[in-house]
Amino acid sequence: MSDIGLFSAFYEQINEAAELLDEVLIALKTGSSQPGDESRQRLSNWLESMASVRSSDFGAQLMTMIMRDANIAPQKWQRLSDALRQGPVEVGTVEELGRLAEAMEQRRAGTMARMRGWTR
Amino acid sequence: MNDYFSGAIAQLLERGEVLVGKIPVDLPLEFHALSTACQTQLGVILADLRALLKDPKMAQPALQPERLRRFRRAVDQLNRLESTALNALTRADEHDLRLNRLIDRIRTEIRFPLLPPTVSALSPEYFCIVTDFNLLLAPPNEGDFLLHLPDLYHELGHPLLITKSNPRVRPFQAAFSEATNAILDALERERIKEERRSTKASQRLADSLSVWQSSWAPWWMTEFFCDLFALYTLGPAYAWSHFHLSVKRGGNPFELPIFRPTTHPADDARMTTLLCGLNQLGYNAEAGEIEARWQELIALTGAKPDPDYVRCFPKALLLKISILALEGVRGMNCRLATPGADDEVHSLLNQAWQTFWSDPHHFAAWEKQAVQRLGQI
Repeated sequence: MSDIGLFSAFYEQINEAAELLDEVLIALKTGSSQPGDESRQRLSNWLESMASVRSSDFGAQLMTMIMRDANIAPQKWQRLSDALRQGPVEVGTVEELGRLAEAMEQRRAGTMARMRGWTR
Repeated sequence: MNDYFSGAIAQLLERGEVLVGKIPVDLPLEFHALSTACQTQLGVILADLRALLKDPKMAQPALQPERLRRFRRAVDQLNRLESTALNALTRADEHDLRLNRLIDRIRTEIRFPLLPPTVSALSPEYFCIVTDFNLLLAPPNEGDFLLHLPDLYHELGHPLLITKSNPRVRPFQAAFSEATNAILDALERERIKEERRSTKASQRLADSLSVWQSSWAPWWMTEFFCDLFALYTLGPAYAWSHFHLSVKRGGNPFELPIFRPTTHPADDARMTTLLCGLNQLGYNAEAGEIEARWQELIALTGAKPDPDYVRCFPKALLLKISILALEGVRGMNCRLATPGADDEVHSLLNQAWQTFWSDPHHFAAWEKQAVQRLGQI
């Protein structure tokens, strides 16, 4: 398959993760976020799945690349996951999630550019 | 930026409505799934844009980074929809219709476990699949020739790896995970060994091993599994098609990335894996024939592998990948292209390659008639 196709699968996954992350960040920043929120739980579960075992399916491998870009070491993923499950989330955690969102945005934009052929 | 967003989002909403109006209403049945996907996605994008414009909390200063990211995602999704799915729908001509009927016939023959993609001959490069629209793009006019059509089977492999929560594809995805773990473990052991040596050369190799790990997972393994899916459901024609593309495309068949991961593995490694697969299926004679042609091509190019090539593509692991992929294809209950398989499309595509080699001078004339027969299948 050409790069366009490969990257389109990547793009789909990254888009989904980026939207989830922004949804949680918006709720955290507006003070409306609760540990029981569905999106917060989904994000927590996702971060935990990245931390717990070396997941080798296609989606997990792609997300591992993004985590490296955001300088979020694997051991921090569990900590972020736990923080989302508890009550109030610290400012530092919100900032870390914001960095992850920015890393994801960089990767998403880069992927879109490659799909368009700008960087070929 | 509130005033910018007000103007830009309003304009995008207008653009979105124009796009909705451009979706044809008299499409053949083969394009209905794509049309529905297109309309659904447009609806979601426009709803997201309205929320960005009208939701009072999105005007808060603290949320502007999130607003900007959401805006950019909506812009890119709209552009992408316009340039792929909508383009395919407005084009939908007789040539595309024939390709769609062909892919549906293939799907039935091989007992493909998912719905078939919609096909459009709009690819600016080679065959590819745009998975979020389930849209397979073929090169223009490729449907009028036979020797590259086996690559349709490769493209069908991609949705099998990324579809979520579908038990029918779980065996293939499990095999993919097991193969990925095996190669990553092997390369990690090598990398640690080199790091412990602490020489400049060993550090360079350790860095290369790290780049290769990032290439293998998930990119290269995806390509190997899609290659093997195609081989196991079509047979030798797919290996010949890989040979054909490698002859035409050029480049170093033993290419290894140095600084950055790449998306496609070395052509030679792909061929080695395909030959392992052919032997798994019982095509020993055909594997020998293809290997001889491959070595002839390699000799002609003068290309030689780097000394570390076998550390990146260990033969034992390529064999293991071929075995795991076969288990995965069997696990999905797909029809295997063993020597006794005789479905019409399968037989025609393999016969094309047999005819090409037995009578290359008259192949083009034979192919013309065969393509007409394909259109009647």
